[in-house]
Order: sequence, then C-alpha cells, then structure tokens
Amino acid sequence: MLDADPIVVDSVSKSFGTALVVKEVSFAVRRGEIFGIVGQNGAGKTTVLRMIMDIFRPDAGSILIFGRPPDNAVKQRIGYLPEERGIYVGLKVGRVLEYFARLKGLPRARARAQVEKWLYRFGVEEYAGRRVETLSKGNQQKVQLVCALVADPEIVILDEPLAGLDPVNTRLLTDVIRDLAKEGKTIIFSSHQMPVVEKLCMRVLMIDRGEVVLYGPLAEIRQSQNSPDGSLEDIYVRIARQGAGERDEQTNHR
Amino acid sequence: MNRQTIDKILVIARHEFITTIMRPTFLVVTLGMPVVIFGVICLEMLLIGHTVKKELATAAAVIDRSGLVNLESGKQLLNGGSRPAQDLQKMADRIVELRRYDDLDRALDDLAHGHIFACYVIESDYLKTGKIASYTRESRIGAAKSYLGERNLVMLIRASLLEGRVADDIRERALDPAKFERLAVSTQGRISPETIGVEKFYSFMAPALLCMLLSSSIFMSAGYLMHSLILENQNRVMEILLSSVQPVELLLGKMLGLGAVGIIPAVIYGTIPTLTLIPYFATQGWRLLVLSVIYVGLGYLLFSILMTATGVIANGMQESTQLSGIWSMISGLPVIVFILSSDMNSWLARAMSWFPLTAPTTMLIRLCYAKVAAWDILLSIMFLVTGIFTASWFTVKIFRASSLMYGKRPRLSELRRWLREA
Repeated sequence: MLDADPIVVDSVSKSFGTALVVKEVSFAVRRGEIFGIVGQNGAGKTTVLRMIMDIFRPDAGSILIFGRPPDNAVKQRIGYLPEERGIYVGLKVGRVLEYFARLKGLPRARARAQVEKWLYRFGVEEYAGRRVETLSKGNQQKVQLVCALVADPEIVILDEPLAGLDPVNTRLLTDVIRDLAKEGKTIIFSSHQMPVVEKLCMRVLMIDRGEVVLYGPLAEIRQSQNSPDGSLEDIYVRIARQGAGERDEQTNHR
Repeated sequence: MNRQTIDKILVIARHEFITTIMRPTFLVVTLGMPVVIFGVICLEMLLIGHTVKKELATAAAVIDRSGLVNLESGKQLLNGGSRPAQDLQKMADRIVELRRYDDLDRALDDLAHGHIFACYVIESDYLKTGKIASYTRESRIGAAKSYLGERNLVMLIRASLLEGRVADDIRERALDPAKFERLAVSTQGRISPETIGVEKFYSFMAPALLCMLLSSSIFMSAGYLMHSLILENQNRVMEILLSSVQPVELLLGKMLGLGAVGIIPAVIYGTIPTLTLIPYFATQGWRLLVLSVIYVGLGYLLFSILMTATGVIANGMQESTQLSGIWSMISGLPVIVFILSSDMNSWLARAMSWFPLTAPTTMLIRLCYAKVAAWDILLSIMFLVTGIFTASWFTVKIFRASSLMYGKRPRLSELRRWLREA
C-alpha cells in the first residue's frame, strides 16, 4: 500500500446500530487502474463507497484520497454514480447536468462545454433540451452516468453502473471506462456482473459480510484459490457458499 | 467559510430559486391568485351593480295619520339648522326622498311595482305610542335603504315636533345632542387625544398588515424548503448531491434560494399594502423597519431549519405538511394571546419574546403596538439566535444520518442514536 495511491482505505469499520456492516476493510487503488469491488447483496460494498465519498463517516480506521481525508476539495475530483439512481426528473437534461458540473466547481462556460461533450460521447446529445422524465429508462441511465463524468474527475466511482443497461449500452459504457483508464483516471467499479468485472478490472476486492475475503490482481487470486483457469464467478460462488456453510456450522454448534 | 464553499452555496441557491419560480404551480399560485382575486371582486361588483339597478327607487312613502309631521317645513328647518344635522340630512336626502301619500293601498301598490322602496305609516296615536309601521319590498338592498329612510324620517319628525315649541339652543342640542371629545388613557395613566382617521388606521391596521405579510413570507419560504428536500428524497438525488457538497452547504444554499422565492409572493401580494405602510414607518421611525427585517430574517432561519428537520423526519409530503402545521400554530400563538390582552409589555408578552419559537411573531406585534425597551429586544434576539444554533445542530446531525433513508420514517430511538453518533 503506497501513500502515492489516490485511494487508500485502512482498517475501516462501520456499524449501524448493533449491526457491524464493514469490518476492518483495507485496500488501495492505484492511479489509472480499473479496480473491481464485488460481493453479495448487503456485503458492505455500497457502505465502503459511501465512506470514500464522505457521505458516511467510518467508526474506525482511515480513508485517504490523494493523501488527505475526503473533504470538499477532494470531492471535487471524484465522480460518483450511486447504486440508488436519482435525478431531477422534472428538469431538462442539459440544465440538470450543468447544475451537477457547477457543484463540482466548474465555471458556467466550461460546465456547458463538458455537458455537450459527454452527451455526445454517450449519443444522447439531442436530448439536452428535453425533460428527463420524457426519456427512456436506458437514456435516463446514460444521463446519470454523464452526471458522474461531466466534471472530468480524476477518480470515478461507479456503483452497479451496468444494472438495467442493454448489451449495446453495456459495451458503450465499458468502452468509456477503458478510455478513462487510458487517460490516467482511477476507476472503482462495483458490480455483480462477474464476467464484466473479469474483463474490465485489473485488480479486485471481494467483500463478504463486511469483511475482505479476496484482494489483489485477478491472476494472483486465481492462483491463491487453486483455480488458474476458473472464472471469477466460480471463485466468488465458492467463497460465498463456504462462508454460508461456516456460519451454518457456527449456528448449529451454538 | 472559504471561497469554494460560498460558490457552492450560491450555485445551489440559484438553482433552487430558478427551478422553483419556473414551476407551473408556483406561477399559477403567485401570479394567478391576484388575477383570480381581482376577477372575483369585479364579478361581485357587477352582480351588486345589477342588483342595485333592480332596486332603483329612491323614494319612500309617508302616510301621516297623526298630522304631526310637516315634511316640507321639517326639511327647511333642518337645512337652516346646525352643520352636523345639515350634513346628515344632505346625505340621507341623496339616497332617500320622502313623499307624502294619503292612500295606503296606492302606496303599497307603488311599493310592489318598485316605484318606491318603503312605506311608513305614522299612526294617529303616534305621540302616545311612537308607533310607525314600515313596509318594504323583499330585498336585502331594500332593507338597507329602508334603514336610511327610517333615520331620515326620525330626523324630520324630531324637527317637526320641535318647530316653534322650544328655544333655538335647545332645538340645536336636540337635533345635534353631543360633540364627543375622545381621550385615551394609557396603562401608565397618560391621557392623550384618541387617534382618529388615517392615524388610527395606521396605528392598528398597518402593524397587523406588516405582521401578516412578514409571517406569511417566513412560512412560505420555509414550506418551499421542506417540499424541495422531500422532492429530492423522492427523486433519490440526495446521494449525488452529498457526493459533491457538504450537508451544511446544501442546507444553506437551499435556505438562501428559497428564502428569496418566499419574498416574491410577499412582494406581489403586498406591494399596495406596503406602499400604504410608508407613512406609518415615517411616523414610527425607521427603527421599526430595521427591527422588523431582523426578526423576519431570524424567524425565517429558525422555521426553515425546523421545517427541514420536519421534512427529514416525516414520511412523504402529506405527513410533512401535517407535522409542519405545529410550527405555524406555535408561531401564531402570540396573535391569539394579544387579542385577549392589550398589554404588550406584560410578563406573558416578555416571556413569549424570549421563547425562540414565538419570539419573531411576538416581537413584530410588540414593536408595532408598543414601546419596547432596548434590553428586552437584545435579550429576545439573543435567545432567538441561540434557538437557531440549537435547531441547526440538531437538524444537520439528523439530516446527515437520515438523508439516505428513502421513504422510511426514523423511530425516536434512531433519532437519539443519530444525535449521539453523528
């Protein structure tokens, strides 16, 4: 774990009431890499991402973004697509995107230019003057993705970005993600879709019940799991079942 | 607060202001309401005019069976009499002409056909009984006119009865019995002439108008803020917003933008009443205006923070609106209390000025209607500011913890936990 890494998460824990949802999670994300976070529903992925975004504060441990705790200045440099999709449905697409770009600190003229650029990149430039609610679900999702990218962030955090996208748009998004990585952007990609994670990500973090169960480059993970040719999905399912079995055993023992 | 924070607050404020004022419901309510009210007034005036036209008769019949009333000489006597009596007579004459009739059947026939609006029969034993039968058509305007006719008749009977029977000065007093000199005694025992006319209007109506205008702008803005937060929660936008700004920045930006929105309807509805307040401020001194602005500003801050907390805690728009009614009720409490007690410097008035939730309304009323000591004002502002800070502390904490609890209402135990943990 190098301090020069743009994201360093060190022994972070978080509980809600009596439920400990994240237990001493540590990882680092390198500049220009596409970093995958995988895990079952409720494993704690979204909570980790929300802590990186300073929406939740960790109970223990520390998070450093560009060597400092996530504050306002750091947030300007991160683009975030949350799992809970939301957008101002009653407003025009261009207006919504310009607002989010300006909240990231962009001056008005640059914000407008960026909106045009990204709408064009996702092939939805003709919808700039239309209200969000009049767009199809797929196009609304593209607009939400543009929200995360419009300010040209150095770090992009995408929580389940492929949910609800058809194969054509999935390909469009994965191409955009690869291009961003080539430009030197740091990308965190959280998803259930293991084949996509496998194709896209250089390193992976697997969380189960709030704890890190696997962490590292894909090849090393396969090696450590004695499954050099196995898919990430197989490894993931095996670990998840093992975890469930151990928990059942513990319950029976009690 | 650094430059970046200020910029973000201003971007949020501008966004909130523009999106709210461009909303069709806002435009309809703000601009449409005065048009609707004006239209209703015009329609009502047209209807009244139409009804009045149907009741054109201005004459009333007088059948004098007592032989006491001399219509002509009574009128002349009044015209040569004292000034108030003359004025009264002239006014009544414009509306009512009394005509002598001898036949009741003919008078009632004319009444039925609308040639006259009333018929008065002075009975032969009038001097003993004072009995006069009054016949009118079935109409509300006819009845009002008949009252003027009766009043006119009474004046004429009085003049007829006094004619040649009493000295001039007695006749003068009988026709114009009292010229009241009205004096007011304050709670400190100071006696001063009671204010009349325009001054009286301003001293009572202007403060009431000012209070209404200012209180409504406080609650209008705070209501917009609450609705905007609920809308963002419903649209699931909160998480994206919080990934770019701090909760405090978001709240401050909204409060600023929607506070400006709340001023618009107050300005539109209140332009004419506010113009009428200029002479009031000129007589009362501009200190009142400055203090009013301070209390409106602080009041808005407090109630918008409380409305935000309500919006966060409540589950949906309907529940928030119901819960926020509590704040409006508490804030309106001083108005009810002051109707019951006119002493604006009583212990109750002071206590209400020091309690943050009632302070803005209480002080707006007290400043308008009484002389309030400087220490009293300072103490009130101090408690109000403390209340604002306490409410902000509480609201920001629960806002941070609960902003992502879409569609769920927190339990009391959860609220306690958030305050402990946040």
